[in-house]
Amino acid sequence: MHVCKLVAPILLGLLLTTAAAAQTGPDAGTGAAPESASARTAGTKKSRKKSAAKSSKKTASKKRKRKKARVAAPVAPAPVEAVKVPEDHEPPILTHTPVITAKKGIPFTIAVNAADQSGVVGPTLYLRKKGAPASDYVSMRMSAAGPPGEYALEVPAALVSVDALEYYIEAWDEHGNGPARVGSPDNPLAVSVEQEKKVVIAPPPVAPAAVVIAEPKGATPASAPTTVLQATREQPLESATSAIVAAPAPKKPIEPPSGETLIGLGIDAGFPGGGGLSLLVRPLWWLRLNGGLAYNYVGLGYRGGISLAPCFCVVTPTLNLDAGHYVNGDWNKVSNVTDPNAHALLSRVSYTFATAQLGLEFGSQRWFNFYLRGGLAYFETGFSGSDLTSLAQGKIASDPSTTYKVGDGKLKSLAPCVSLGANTLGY
Amino acid sequence: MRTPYSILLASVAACYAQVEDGSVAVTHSLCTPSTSACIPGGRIPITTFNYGGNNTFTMNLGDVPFLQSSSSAGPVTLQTNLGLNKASFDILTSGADFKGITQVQLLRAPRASTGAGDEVCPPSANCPVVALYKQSTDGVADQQIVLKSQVPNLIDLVDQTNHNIVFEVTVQGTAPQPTLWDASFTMDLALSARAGLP
Repeated sequence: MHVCKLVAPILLGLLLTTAAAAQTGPDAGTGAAPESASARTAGTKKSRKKSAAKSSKKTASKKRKRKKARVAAPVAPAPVEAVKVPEDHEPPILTHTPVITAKKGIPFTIAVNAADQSGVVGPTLYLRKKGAPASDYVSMRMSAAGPPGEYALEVPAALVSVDALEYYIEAWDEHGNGPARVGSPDNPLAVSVEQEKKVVIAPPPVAPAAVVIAEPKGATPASAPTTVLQATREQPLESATSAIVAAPAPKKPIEPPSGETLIGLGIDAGFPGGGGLSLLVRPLWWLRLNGGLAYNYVGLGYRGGISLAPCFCVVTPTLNLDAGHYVNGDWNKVSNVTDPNAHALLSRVSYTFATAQLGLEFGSQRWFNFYLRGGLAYFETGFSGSDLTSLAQGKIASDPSTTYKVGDGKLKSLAPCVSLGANTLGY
Repeated sequence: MRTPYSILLASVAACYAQVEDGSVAVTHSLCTPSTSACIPGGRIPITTFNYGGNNTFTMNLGDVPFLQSSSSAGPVTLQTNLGLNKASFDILTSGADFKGITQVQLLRAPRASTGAGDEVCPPSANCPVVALYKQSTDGVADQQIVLKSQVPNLIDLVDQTNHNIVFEVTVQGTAPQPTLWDASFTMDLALSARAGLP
């Protein structure tokens, strides 16, 4: 009984201290994981718990007080503030105002206050793309900024290219106590990356709750900082951050321009395809259909085709596929044959063609542009067998006992082609 | 930068122009038009036909530039093929047939025969066989004898100076029944000429 009377005040004091620590746990103030926070706090209070376990009633009382403290903690992320730790076997105390949002492509700063009576081994920021595996965390040493204990790091724009980031901060003291953390690998703090310019920072707390984040003393104090140093030293930031940067910088999506025009006219001339006038229709912003009349000096024809224009640029590359048919052209306009049979053969030449061309269009895809194209053209023309028979009989057969009968002939050609033209779209 | 050049070169190399005609039929009457029948018949051995001067004829292809197997103009090469689809004899005399004919050879002769007894393709001349009919393998002919081509390209047989091909026909068997008979000889050719980069 005497012993009990002597121990009772001591146990009561320990109980009150434990309850106070539970009230300021990480899940109460910083939004960090309750489990990890509990684990950390559990380490610091291990010896006290041993004492407290001697009295189940007192332990129950302590749990009730801790639960009460959790319920009373604010839900919104709130800055944390240092609490003085009297002895140097405690890890640093981190005070941090979480960054909640950032603007895509704009650097932003994460700051932390790290206090320890024996000095802090530079706080390290661990950053990753939201949802990425734990191995993708990128470590970045935070620099001293301003007053003693204040550390900050500007997250480069290249890393702010994803939709959301996650981070936690870790620090050790000179004696290897730690790590003290804000957030944790399993339960990091989230930063929403938005398109807006505004960077929203959590408002300063009215009554910041003090949190002591501590790890059990002696748990490989030097290993974690060494890892951080190696990661920082051996991997340049660019490569170390590949996991985040690898998510490609968001390409500007190809979007249909507003107010696009759908119908227009095109005019062109080229070799050997001749020239023409076409009606243009754009059913999709990147696809143009054309159809119209063609003229090649010796005759008229018709044609149609498609053009793929993958952007609305000042200079737009295009792929153009066309086909058409010229009917009964008189090629004697461009030849000087005197043989009447050959003249007859050339007087009614029709041919079919198809072209595949790459081009560049200069100007507006919406209103007016002109272009230069080059590619290959396939031509196929037929010759009447009767005309060929007449030609052969008259030109070749000098022996009256020899007669010729020639079937329909065909001329095929694959040749380079070029064309110039202009398009105007107005509706 | 190499890729666009490669595409450009490949595109140019792919360019060509080609003329083709699948059927050019040249028909030659063995007798002159003024004579309805001129070849001795009567079921006699056909040696008379072989040595009567009627067994050679000349086919003129005209002065056409592409009637050479290969020619070049700068980097462009012109290649011509004149294939023989088939050759045939068609009987023109009523009541006559080729049932007694056991073999017909169409030979490319060095020159035309000048008359009876002028054999332009003796065995020593090594005249190439252009087409061949054998009753034992091709069946008994009646009104028409079809000879199968034995050469892939007739262009090589064209005389480049006068653009002629001279053929000699040698026949084995017995002549048709009529005392005099006539037939026509037809060669069905396929012409193809292609100009392009080699």
